[in-house]
Amino acid sequence: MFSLLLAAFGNAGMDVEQFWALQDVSFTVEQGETLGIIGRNGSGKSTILKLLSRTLRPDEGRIEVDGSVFGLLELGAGFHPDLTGRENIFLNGSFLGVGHKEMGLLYPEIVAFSELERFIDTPIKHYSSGMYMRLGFSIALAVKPDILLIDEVLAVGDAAFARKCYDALAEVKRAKRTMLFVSHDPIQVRRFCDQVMWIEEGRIRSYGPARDVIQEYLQSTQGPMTAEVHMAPTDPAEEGDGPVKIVQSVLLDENGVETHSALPGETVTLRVRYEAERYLDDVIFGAALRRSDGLHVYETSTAESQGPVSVQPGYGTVECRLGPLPLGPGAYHISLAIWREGERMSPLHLLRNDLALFMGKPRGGHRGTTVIPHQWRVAAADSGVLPSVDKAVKPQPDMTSSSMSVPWSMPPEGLNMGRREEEYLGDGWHPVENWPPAVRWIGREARVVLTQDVARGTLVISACRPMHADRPVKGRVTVNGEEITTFRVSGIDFEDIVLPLDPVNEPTRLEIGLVMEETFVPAVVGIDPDTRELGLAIREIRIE
Amino acid sequence: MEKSEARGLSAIAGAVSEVASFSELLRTMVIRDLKLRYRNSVLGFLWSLLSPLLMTLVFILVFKVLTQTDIPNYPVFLMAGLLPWIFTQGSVAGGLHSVTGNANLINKVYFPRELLPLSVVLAGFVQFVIAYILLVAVLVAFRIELHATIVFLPLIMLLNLVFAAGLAMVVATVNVFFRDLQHLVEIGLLAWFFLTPIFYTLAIVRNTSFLGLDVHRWVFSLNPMATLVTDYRYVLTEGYLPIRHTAVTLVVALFLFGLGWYLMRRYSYRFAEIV
Repeated sequence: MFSLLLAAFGNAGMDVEQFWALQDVSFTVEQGETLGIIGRNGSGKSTILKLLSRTLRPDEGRIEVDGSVFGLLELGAGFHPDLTGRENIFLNGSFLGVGHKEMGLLYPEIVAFSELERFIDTPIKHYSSGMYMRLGFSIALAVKPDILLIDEVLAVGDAAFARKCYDALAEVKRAKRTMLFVSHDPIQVRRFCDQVMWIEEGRIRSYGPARDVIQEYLQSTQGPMTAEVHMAPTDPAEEGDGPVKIVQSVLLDENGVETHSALPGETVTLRVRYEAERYLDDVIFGAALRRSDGLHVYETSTAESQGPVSVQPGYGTVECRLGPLPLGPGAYHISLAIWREGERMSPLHLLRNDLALFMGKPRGGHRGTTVIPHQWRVAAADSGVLPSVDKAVKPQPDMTSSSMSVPWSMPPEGLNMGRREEEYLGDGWHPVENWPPAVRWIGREARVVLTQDVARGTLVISACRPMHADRPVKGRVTVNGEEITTFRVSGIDFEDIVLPLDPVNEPTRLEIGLVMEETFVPAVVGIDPDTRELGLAIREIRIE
Repeated sequence: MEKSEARGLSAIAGAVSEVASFSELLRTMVIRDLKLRYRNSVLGFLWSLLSPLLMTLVFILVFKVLTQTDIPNYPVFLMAGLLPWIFTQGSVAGGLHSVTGNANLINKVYFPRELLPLSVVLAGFVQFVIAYILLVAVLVAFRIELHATIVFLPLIMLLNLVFAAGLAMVVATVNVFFRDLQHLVEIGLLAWFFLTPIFYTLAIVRNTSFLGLDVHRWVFSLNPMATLVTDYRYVLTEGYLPIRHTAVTLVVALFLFGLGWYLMRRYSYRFAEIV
């Protein structure tokens, strides 16, 4: 009934040098189907959605769209910053051809879903990017277009709302509405999409059932090491028909959001919901982790710590915190089992390879199957006397996700930099959670203190303006009070400021300052009310 | 031949019906534009009346007090011409940035791009009509003699609207590809203002000949705004409508509107790439 066809189109610039954003891309999406589009940045994913939403026109080829289309392409699509949330809802409705009256009927639903009741009469230029996203997403859901185009927007916003969105999208999928979902997170794509198209350099690299294409994609993106790993059959299998059954299982990240991926050093929580038919007092819950090639990596059960547990008739939940995960990059599967004490071999319920866990590859890279916390230390040239004991390599006590191989100390405790404890910069804008822990903000200045060990280093500072800005934000970076560089931040995308640091002979205290020209409201820990105007974070510290 | 004509006609019909189907959006955009114009200003909508009034005061000061012009009812004379000028000038200036200033919309949502300049022009038109109605009310209140030709006033306003909309669409499109236009338009509007009999009458312009051409005739017959401004005055206070000049202006206005529409239709698909 509904069909959509793209054939050999591209997007030529006016310049002599032609660049085709897309070529030979033909596909059909039937009504009720969900198509995921994955690929690296700049591969042409977003161009496809722009073409479908008619903001771009193909130079060659044709597109047939049957039905109304809502494109949730970028933050604040079709919003006017000077209008209030309420006015923007109606304006956005008109762009979709939904009249004022109809929109009035949908209005309560939109506001309720967006949870923006308190701010709905505030001009949205005062909104944070998370709030923009809430508004846009809520409108998209309420308007119920025939075809929903979604482009990565869910990456913004707090964990609780992201989960709400994903649940809502799952509902859209269940309701058999057509959806095109663009993301570079293969895990989310796999969750929502029946079919997946992998775009590379403007061409279709692979197209087919979600499972196959994503497997292929992950193998290719995770480097040669994992590509060599033979992928064992990973189809889930089920056994047992006892009185206790697993009814639901999820992996949660550190924020309690469902996840299928983690980085080495991160912690995930396995949550299993079970249903018991009757009272039993000798039940054991177990989980086993297998690598995709079948290697048995780890196995654990409640028997180790709790012994047999009792279950009541009805539903219950068991959780297991796993981590910090010392696993190398690759795909893993978790099998779940419930058995009665002493009956390990004939479980009440067994779900083999029930959950997938993709371990990512952190920047800088790891080789090998396991990640071992470590710290390198190279002594400076000395008199030839053997190093004393306290100069020997010390094991790093605490393994956190990004600082694992970084010779930087945490800032000293009791660092006194500002009035309000909660005004940290790092949180919320940082790809790696909870690090660095204390970037302090005073008026126009943010400071972080780090100790540089004997190594040459590179400091990467990321900055963005979560709000739509008319003019760029200017600032300076200082190290120990000395200006090192200046920077400008204009958009909501993170911009990296890279600072090479000179090698030092002994651990040196570095006070890194970020000094802005104007006063901005920095990222505040805690989401509501969200008044962030500027996000700044020390993103990464590399050794060379 | 016949076929292509039919196709051309159906394309026009399609374009018109598309814009019609977006009429709700156009309405919302006009309201948005009106809201935004005076948001954060204390007097708000009053400014659409206040600013022509203040401008009139300036002209009275300069021309009535300083240069002793002998035009009767000079404030009425000024207002009658100044209001349409402000509307037209605002349409051109607003239309100029209507596409380039809305990159956010162009890049993210689809709608007929004509709506951008059209909404700016219509918002200005709403203000203009309200201001003009008030002007007529004031004339009535002050017992200034009006003529039956006042019934033509809406027609002249409509003509002015078509003219302004056409011009706005042309500059909006051209400005996307040649941003130089915005500088030219600034100067052009200034020159145009002086070449339009707003604060003076056609009568004071001497018949000068330049390179054998009648300057008076060239400047004023070919300036649609000159015709429009005098039309407004004539139907209001003279009881006369210069049919021939008005007809020429109608042709010019329709041509501009057609050109603007054509340019928008023809090139709007490139907007998202460039803006």
